[in-house]
Amino acid sequence: MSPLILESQNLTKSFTGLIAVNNVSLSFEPQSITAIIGPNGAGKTTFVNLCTGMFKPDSGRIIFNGEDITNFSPEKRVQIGISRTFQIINIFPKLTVMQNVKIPLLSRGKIENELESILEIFQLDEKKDVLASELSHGDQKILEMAMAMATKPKILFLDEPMAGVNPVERSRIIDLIKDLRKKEKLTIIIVEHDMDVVFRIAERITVMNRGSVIADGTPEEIRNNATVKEVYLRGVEV
Amino acid sequence: MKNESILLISLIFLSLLIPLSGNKYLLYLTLKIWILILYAIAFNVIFGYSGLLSFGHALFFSGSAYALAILVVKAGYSLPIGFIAGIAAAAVFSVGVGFLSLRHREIHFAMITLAFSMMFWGIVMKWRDVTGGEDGIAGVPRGMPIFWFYYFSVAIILICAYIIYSFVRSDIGLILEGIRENETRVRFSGHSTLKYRLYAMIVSGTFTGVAGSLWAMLDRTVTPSISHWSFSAMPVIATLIGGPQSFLGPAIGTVIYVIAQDVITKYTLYWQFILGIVIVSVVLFFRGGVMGILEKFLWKR
Repeated sequence: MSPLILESQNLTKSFTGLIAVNNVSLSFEPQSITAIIGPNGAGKTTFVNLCTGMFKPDSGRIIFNGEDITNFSPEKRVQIGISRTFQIINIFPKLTVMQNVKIPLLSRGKIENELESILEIFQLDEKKDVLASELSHGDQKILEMAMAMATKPKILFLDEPMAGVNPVERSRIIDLIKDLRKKEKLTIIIVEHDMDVVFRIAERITVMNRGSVIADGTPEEIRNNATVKEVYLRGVEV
Repeated sequence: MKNESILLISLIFLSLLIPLSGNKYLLYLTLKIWILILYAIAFNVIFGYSGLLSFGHALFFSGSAYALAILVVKAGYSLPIGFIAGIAAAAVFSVGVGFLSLRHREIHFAMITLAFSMMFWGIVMKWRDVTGGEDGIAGVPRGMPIFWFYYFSVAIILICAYIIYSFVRSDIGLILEGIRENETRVRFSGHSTLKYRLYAMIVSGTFTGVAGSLWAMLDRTVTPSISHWSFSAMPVIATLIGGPQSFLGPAIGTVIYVIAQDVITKYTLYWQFILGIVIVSVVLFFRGGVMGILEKFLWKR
């Protein structure tokens, strides 16, 4: 058994000539929090999409807990413990908050009391009968995390969980992420543009640019990495 | 919900009085509406609840009716066996068509289901030895006087409607609604969506088959008109009029559809023209159909 929970081996994916992810090999240790950063179009979301099964890679392999899952469907990956949220809010707008959480819960069988506890953890219990479309943007982001957690994942991908979220809700989400990780022994991979958030959460930062990994290390190493400063952190105070 | 229940119970009660009037025509027309209501409600499991437009439900309806007629009239089996076999035939057809069509969406799904139903229509028209071709099969028994057959059918239809209602309100029904709203999210919630679509197709097709078998007994004749594509269009139109997002929408739409057809044909041959105007205005201005209008203006939920 390898000590790694997830490993990508030489992943490559291109869209009509544009190479979105180019020969990316990354590995993730259990219960780690890794942030993937990089400028727009760096291939971060595509990498997440490949790991979670949205797309199949052109070449390369994805190994989860020692098993090759490159050809698994998204639902199969969720069932073995890989869950995610989406960059653009992806919920069931016309269903209630409770129904939104119930759908992913049902993939694990009948679990009525768990529904209540998840709604509680994410502080959605008072809004459970509200239509998801009527929630604030921040609450919709939180609902998505609740939905992702309802499948009881071992590894959670968060694709820009802070996008469009106000500072108050931002702190709430940061606390939630830290909490979940501790309680659920989660491995978290977060794609985020907000450097403040990234440096507050991540233990490890992977920097991508034009489909390739250009730096990988602790926040301290990344902060002082010349290449990273050059392509990405230019002009940004960190 | 309360308003709906009161309306529903009074309508059901009223219709139960109809055989007592002694008016055979009225009895026939009302039972026809009842059967078509079951057809439309069953159809809406796939359409309104799962978001898939089937244009081939006549296959399940007529498949069941023909199975019953062939077994009972041509092969001499008893009516109960024919009735059950008819429903079973519809279930088998829905599994088959489901497997072959449910990987597709929208217009592709509609065309594939249409193609299967037209194939069946072709078989019915050409395989004269078995199906009687254009003449169909006459002499299907009812097993009881039409007076009792009315109550028997209404009882069956109410039970079926209740089962369908329970199905769409179940956890499976919730997942189907999720698939209709956002299929990707359902897959990323750990569900194989194909499996749930197939469940919906089987429920929809099987109960359509119940309607088809009752129809064969009511009419005492089975003709190719019930396997024609226009018979697949009927629940589509009725559901659009009544409102696909509501359980009772298809039922109300069916009542309007059949009565309009019956009344308007007395005054003009061009009833379809008037129906066309109704459909266009419903689709353009009242997406929720009659139920949507009721909910919006009267019940203000």
